Amino acid sequence: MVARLEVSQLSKSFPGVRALDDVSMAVEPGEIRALLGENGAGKSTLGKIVAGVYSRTGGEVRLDGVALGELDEKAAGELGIGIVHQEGSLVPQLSVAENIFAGRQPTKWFGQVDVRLMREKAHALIAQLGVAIDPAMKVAFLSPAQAQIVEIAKALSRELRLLILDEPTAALTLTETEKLFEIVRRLARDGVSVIYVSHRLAEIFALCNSVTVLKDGRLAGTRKVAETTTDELIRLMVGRDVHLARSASSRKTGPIVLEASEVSAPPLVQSASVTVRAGEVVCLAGLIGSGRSEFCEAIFGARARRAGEIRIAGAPINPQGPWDAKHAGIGMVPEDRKTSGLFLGMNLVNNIAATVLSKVSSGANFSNRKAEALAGNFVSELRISTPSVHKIVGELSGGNQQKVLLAKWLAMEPRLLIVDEPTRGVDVGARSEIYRLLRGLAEKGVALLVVSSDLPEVLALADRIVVMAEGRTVGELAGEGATEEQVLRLATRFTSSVADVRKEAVGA
Amino acid sequence: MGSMLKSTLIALGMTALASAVTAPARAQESSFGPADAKETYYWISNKANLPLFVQYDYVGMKKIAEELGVKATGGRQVAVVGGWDPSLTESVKKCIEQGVPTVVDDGDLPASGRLAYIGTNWTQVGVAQAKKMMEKVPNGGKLAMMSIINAGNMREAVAGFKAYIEANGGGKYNIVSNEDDGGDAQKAAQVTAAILAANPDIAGIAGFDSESGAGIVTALREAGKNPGDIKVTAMEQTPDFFKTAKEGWVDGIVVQNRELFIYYAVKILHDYNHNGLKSAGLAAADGGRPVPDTLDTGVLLVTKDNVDKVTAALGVK
Amino acid sequence: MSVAQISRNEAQAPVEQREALPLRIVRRLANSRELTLFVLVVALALAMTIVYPHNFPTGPNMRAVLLNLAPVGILVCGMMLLMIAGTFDLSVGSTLALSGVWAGVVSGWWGWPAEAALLIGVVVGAVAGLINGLIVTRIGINALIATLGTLTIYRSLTYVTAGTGVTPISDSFAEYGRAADPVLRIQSPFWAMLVLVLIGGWLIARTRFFRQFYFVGGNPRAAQLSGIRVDRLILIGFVIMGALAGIAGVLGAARLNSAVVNAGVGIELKVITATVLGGASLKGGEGTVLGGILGVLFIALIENAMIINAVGVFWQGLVVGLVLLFAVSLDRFKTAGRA
Repeated sequence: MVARLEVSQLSKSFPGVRALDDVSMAVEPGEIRALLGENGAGKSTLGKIVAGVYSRTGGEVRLDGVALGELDEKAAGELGIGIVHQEGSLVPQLSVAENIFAGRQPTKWFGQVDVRLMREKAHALIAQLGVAIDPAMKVAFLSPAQAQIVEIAKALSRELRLLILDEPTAALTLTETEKLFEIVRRLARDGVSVIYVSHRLAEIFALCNSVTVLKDGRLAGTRKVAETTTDELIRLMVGRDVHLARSASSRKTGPIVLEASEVSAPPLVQSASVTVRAGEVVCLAGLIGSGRSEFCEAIFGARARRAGEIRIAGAPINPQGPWDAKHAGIGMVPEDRKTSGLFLGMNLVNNIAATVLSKVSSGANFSNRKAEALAGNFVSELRISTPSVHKIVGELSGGNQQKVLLAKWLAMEPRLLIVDEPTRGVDVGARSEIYRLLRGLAEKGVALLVVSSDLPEVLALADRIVVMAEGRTVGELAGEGATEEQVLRLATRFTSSVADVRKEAVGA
Repeated sequence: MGSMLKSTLIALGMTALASAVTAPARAQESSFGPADAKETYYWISNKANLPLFVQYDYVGMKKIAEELGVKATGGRQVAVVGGWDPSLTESVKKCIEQGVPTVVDDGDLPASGRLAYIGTNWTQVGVAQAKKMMEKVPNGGKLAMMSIINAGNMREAVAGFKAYIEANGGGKYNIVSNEDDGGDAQKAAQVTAAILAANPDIAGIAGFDSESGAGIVTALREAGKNPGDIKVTAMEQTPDFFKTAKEGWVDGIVVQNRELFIYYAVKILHDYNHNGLKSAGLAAADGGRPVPDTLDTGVLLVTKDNVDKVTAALGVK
Repeated sequence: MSVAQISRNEAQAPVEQREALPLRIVRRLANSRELTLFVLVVALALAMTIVYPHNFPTGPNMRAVLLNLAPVGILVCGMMLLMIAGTFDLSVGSTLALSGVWAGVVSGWWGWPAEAALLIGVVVGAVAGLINGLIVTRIGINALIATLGTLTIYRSLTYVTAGTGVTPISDSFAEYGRAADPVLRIQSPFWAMLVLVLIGGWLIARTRFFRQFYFVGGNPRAAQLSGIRVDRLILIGFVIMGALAGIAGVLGAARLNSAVVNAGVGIELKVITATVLGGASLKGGEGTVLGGILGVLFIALIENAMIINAVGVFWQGLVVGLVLLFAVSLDRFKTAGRA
């Protein structure tokens, strides 16, 4: 039998980097193949070459035995290769239906777009995924999870032979992830081959038949999922043992740093309270749309507050903007590093200096030397993988970008650091480093308020877990000994109307 | 909302202050004649605010309105069109088709079917400057021209200047430059400086846009020239500009009789409506044209010889 | 062994082959817009000097070129600041005229001292800029639409203020635009521009305060969340732009001893062209004052060279456009290298 996809001796060079080096693999029809690897291991690059996004430097790609020449994304799509990008390929100003059929909308006479037919088709595709999203809605109004579903629907809108999913569950909740898995399994039963790029080992064991591990652009090994273990995969990926497990906390917490009581910032935050002590890690858990990020933004002054009180070290503050919060010693690492966190077109030096311009200046003068030294310190301290501090941040991998974002806020030496989704789109190796870093901060007496949708992460990090639902803080658990079930039970107390809250938020 | 109000108030405040200061000196009316007049004549221009118009054209408008007891107004409806811009042709056509008698002034729109053109014959503007230039540069030499190159009337002047020099110059003259000053004195100065660099031996410069002259003189002054080193002919600008003729910077300033434009335009339209004369037995209503086709309002050349009278009459100190 | 070490080693081993010399030179040039422009300016000046030794490199011509680029040069400092912050101002030409006319009214009609006229002209410009900034930041109207609106409003205000303009203004006022230094004998607008460019260049390149504008343009949301007061900075940027337009306006009026109501019509496009040529990005976050002023100088030299070369007036626009596209497209070599 001919393999569906056969990649042999594939290489790809970017200036200064060899992203892929002599990688070969074969995927059978109907097989679900996981592609695993650390930051910059080349897994996204491999997917993008197969899907025609990048051209290859060397090697061969065969689809059902036919060698593929130079092809672009459109040509690959016509051959039946679909890709769902990690960074998203949707145009926020356009409707869901237009995004799904971008460039090949069904037409009536004279090339006029048949809007009704397009919406019907889009509706059917989305319904197939077991969710309801209005095809006429603008993508800008979708939640990250909904946008991900639209991405997948877009890939499904063609006859597929091979589907490449690049970190598809990063923004999804557990139920949504389960739904996605069902869809992927059904596609595989119909003979579609799937390449599933993910960092989440649990997902790979739940979904995939086999797994190919890349390390530094080279093939580290291919295993049948039934015949391998988590430990083996991690060893292949990083060449060392990584501990995701909770480390026994021997920290002593200090005085209360943050005391936020009955904060209300409608429509998403109704009444939320939290206290965080020096040296303590408090995790805000809850479903997407429960108002966790918005609560943090209200504390940080980035969202208008209607009521409630915020005290820092006992003194009430009333931040009118992030600058006031910063002045009070609060830092916040936002959820979406690309749109709200980083200056993607600027280098590491400028990104890291952004919060501490006065610190890297002599008098009124900005000092490049000081800024470079500061950035250099963080690059080595956080083990940011970059050829130089002058590298443009947009060209780094996700994990390294996340570290730069953290560095930017560590630079100001906050008393309270709010971290919204510390490891979104970050792989296992970098993830454990980020955990180590956050724990290290707490050791130094920083108060940490962490928002996370990843329950194992919450359980691994938190000294205390505060759960939110529908814009309210609904319960609190000690981190030690808490279970996923306990957190979920609190978080879903009001689930029936969560959808309504989301609707209210987008004004639909 | 508060800030919007604030901005508006500031803007209004600035305006009010300006009007308070300037009103006594230069009241700006743009509608003349008795309020109960039976007929209204409209003057339309896409440059209705141009200083030159405010200075002169409205004077003629006021005069004719009072003389005939009609209403003449600078506004948004039709009868006299300041036709600088060839793209107005279609609009004038439409007016005629809908039975609105329409004449154009200042710049002709020959293809529009307008009843008459009233204004300066721009070829004659070119000729007047050429004559003066030849008189001032009797032994020949290099000459340069500048204008707003996309203005139709100035193209006629440039062509008239060139044709006259070629026909009557006996080969002694060489027009080395034809540049664009975009109707901006500073740009005219920049262009003049470059012309001087390109042709250190330039003998004369002619400017056809009202801002050209001021720019040419500025650039000559800045280049360390003395009045008369390089001969200049130009168009009228502000009353103050006539002083350059007295000082010897400019040898001839062409004055259009702008006060005549709207005066005769309305008069011709009034005649068309009322004079009862016929062409080939046809009255106006039957398709006759009992009015002149073009009315050349002539030009006046201000030189060293008559400039004192002009500045005295205009009260230029 | 850490990940960082691995990729650092990789980066040190050059993957690219050595390219042919001419291509390397082009790529090197393309990496800095300032260097590109500097080389283009020098090349153009050299070529003109060789071909027209008696016309181009003369004292009077150089003086005139430098004097005539002053208004755009002054405006480019402010426009560069705004474009670094990801916005721009289309009303600068009207602001310039309004300021000039107000200075003319104050000195010419009211007979106040020339210094008061200069000051009031600049203040009028700053107020016009303040209004632009308030409309953009407080009401939240897009800068393109807001300043298109004020472009016609401010122009209209100049008509309302002074009808046909103010001519002559006064000799004492004119002196501020005509006085020249004793050595090079270049008039004051150029020196004013030079001082503003040097101060502006230093401020924007070196100071902490103005460094914030790069962050605002690089990613406004991230800048806001980094504790940078985005709206306040944009407001300040517009006020500076307005004040600079005011300075250009009063100096222009002084030079001509005449406040013309239609001064500066269309100058906004020249300024934005020079700013973009000088390395500003329409998306914001990039650019230097040095680049901007080199852009102005390059355009001024081309305009001068065309007249000396006797390029037909109808062809001049074509030449300017092609040269601009060429200069800007040199960047393609840079991005092509990165793929």
